[in-house]
Amino acid sequence: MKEIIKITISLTAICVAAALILGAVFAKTEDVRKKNQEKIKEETIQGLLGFGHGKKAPEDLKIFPVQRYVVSEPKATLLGYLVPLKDKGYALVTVDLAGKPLKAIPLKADAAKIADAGTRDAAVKEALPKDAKATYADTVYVANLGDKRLGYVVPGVTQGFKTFVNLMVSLNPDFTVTGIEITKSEEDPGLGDEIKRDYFKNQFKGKTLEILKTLKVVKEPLPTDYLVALDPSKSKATQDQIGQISEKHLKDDIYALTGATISSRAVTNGVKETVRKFVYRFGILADVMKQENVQAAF
Amino acid sequence: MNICRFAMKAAWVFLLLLVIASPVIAETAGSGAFKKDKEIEISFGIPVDESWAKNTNNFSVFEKPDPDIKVAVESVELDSRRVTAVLKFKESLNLSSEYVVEAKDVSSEGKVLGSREFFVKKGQFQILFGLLLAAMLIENFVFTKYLGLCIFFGVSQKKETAVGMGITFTLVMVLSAIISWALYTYVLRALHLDFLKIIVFIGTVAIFVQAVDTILRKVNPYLFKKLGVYLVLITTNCIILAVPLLNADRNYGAFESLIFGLGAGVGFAIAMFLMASVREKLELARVPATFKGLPIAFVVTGLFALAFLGFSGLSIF
Amino acid sequence: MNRNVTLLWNGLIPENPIFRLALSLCPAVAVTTSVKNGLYLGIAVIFVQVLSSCTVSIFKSLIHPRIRIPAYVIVIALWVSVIDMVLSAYDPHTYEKIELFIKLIVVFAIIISRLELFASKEPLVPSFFDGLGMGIGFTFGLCLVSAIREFFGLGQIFGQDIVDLKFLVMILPAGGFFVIGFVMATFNWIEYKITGKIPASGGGH
Repeated sequence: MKEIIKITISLTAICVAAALILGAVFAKTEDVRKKNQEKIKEETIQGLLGFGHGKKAPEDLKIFPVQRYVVSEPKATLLGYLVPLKDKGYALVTVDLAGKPLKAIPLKADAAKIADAGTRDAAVKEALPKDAKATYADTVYVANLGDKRLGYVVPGVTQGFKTFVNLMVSLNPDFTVTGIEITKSEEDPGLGDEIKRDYFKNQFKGKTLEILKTLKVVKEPLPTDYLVALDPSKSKATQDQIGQISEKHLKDDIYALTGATISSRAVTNGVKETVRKFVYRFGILADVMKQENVQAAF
Repeated sequence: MNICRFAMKAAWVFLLLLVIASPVIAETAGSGAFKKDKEIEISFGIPVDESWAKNTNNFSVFEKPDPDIKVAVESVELDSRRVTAVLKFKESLNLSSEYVVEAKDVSSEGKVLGSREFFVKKGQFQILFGLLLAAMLIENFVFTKYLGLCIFFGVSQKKETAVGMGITFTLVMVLSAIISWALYTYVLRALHLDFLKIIVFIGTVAIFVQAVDTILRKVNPYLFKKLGVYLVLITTNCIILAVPLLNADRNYGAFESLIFGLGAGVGFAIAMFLMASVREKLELARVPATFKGLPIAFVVTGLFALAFLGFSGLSIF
Repeated sequence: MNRNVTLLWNGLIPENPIFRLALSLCPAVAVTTSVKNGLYLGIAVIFVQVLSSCTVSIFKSLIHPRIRIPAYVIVIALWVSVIDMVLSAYDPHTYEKIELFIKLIVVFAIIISRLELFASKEPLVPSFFDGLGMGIGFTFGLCLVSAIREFFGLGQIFGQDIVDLKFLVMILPAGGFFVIGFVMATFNWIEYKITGKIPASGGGH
């Protein structure tokens, strides 16, 4: 009997000691992890906007996140956009499902509060009536260079070959695709995983809204001259040549990856859907802000 | 032979569980269903007016996460009894997400009955079956996720031991997947102690294996003599830890965790049985001396892995 | 000092965890699609092995023999969790590729078998070198397999293009099995040439 007590005590002691050490390490590393994740996100966004890789982002590049919430009130469902304002404040602009503006509610929050998901959700909840429930949907990024609009970065998700593929699309002010990035995927290495390669991603560059509407995936080999333009790191083509070739193939459909048609189609549909939804929503948001006279920071 | 009988019993128990569980699962499936990738079928339960139903403006359809973006309905068709309607769309639907169909002012025999909402998604049963198939074949843990290899190579010399190990492993896997899920959902996530999950999961498995060992020894010494050896080995099988970790990572629910565990276990058993069948034959083959034993087993596994690649992309529903 | 060198060498070749002991094979197939992943996981294993060996060696008198296995498991899980958290915080880019396998180091048979066979009986310094040797041997195995796979599969080494070669099967899971099978056979053949005997290869767990 005595031995059992001894064993129990020593096992408990080991567990408690381990838990304490882990707790301490967690407390030390959690902030760094969050910060690094933010940094990766920022780098991805800047990379999509054409900076990074030795090209430093200019001082006056400003990126404004706009969060979207789905608000369920007892009678109706509406959308709430968290918009940063000119005077450093924030407002929750609510819109009904048909796109009619409802109101702009000022928020009691600062940049730090908005950056953290937990405090942001609390701030949004506080601004809404008591019986409303707000669920976070996604964040789009509006980029300005000085006072001029540089473009948008929009996140999207699509069902890939195995699990979900998370991607980001950057658009210029005319909603032409300027680049895509795969942020998370679990496709097969060597096959579907090739969606992360430049020669696939760059095929989306320059596709306008019109082209995107009818964009398909074709099971044809990638033309060799196009490959030169898509993967400039591997060839010695000049900027002019690349521009010319890209221009020539601008209206082409997306060439499927060898052995990974489903993954290619998934990404293409994901990009199309993401852009379509964003353009629709951003149009409404811009109208609403004009009508309600919301002075957005961007 | 007794092992085979035991396997049959275990299979019956699983089947029974599934049958009991299926009405519960089916109930959540909602009142609409996808017909083809461009059609949704909804049932009103009562005859509705044709003139009302033919008006596409009475229906608004959207994906659940995007209530503001409507999907255009091209046409509506009623069946002869006017109870079920088939909505046709121009664009193909995204079958992996959930759609909401709102029918405005449903009118039946000239009377307006008010609005109704239909939730349309792939049936829970289909999702679960798909998951089972995925864990068993498409994402077979041994051949495509390369897990559990130590046991796989160690115990696959004879068919009998392979079957014994497969059954024991499946049982332990399913139960520990459920226990880990409960612990993760109700304790770790509730208390924001996510960072303890490795220690907690491996602890759960170890304690559970120890408990089964003790109980089996007392209750059924015969079965213990047959399966006891494998029980100890299970704790060093990566799959037993990978399944709870993946369940936690992918936010699977209780049923999904159970099915994923079952699929992983059965998939492992299949792999063991296939491998053991080949290795029994290999004993008789003339293998180059330096390849005898493990090296040739590896090459054979490589061939199996190539064959299993053929399952990828397989979908029944 | 001499013994320590022997212990190091022992883990590297004569008792190489992957090719000779046939332990912890899962990561050897899974993460070896590129040298970078292999090296990264190998280093994580070195840390876990050395730290657990040292911990067990220091506290061995306090661990009751009847609970030694659960105690070892907790010690390993502790250090794996620590490494997991540190890597996810400081190098998220590489971490996300091999996340699952970092966590699975807990069940790598090589670690617990070294604790049971060596660290629980020996003092701190030899335990340290034994752990280090095994860890390095493991890393060496991973790097060798991944170098072969990356070179033949993608024509790259360390992500740098070397030749225009694309032998896709090497990158697929099947390739990992083939490469390990052939490397093991090569080890056997070398030993046969030196000693004149075919070693009874692994099968342990």
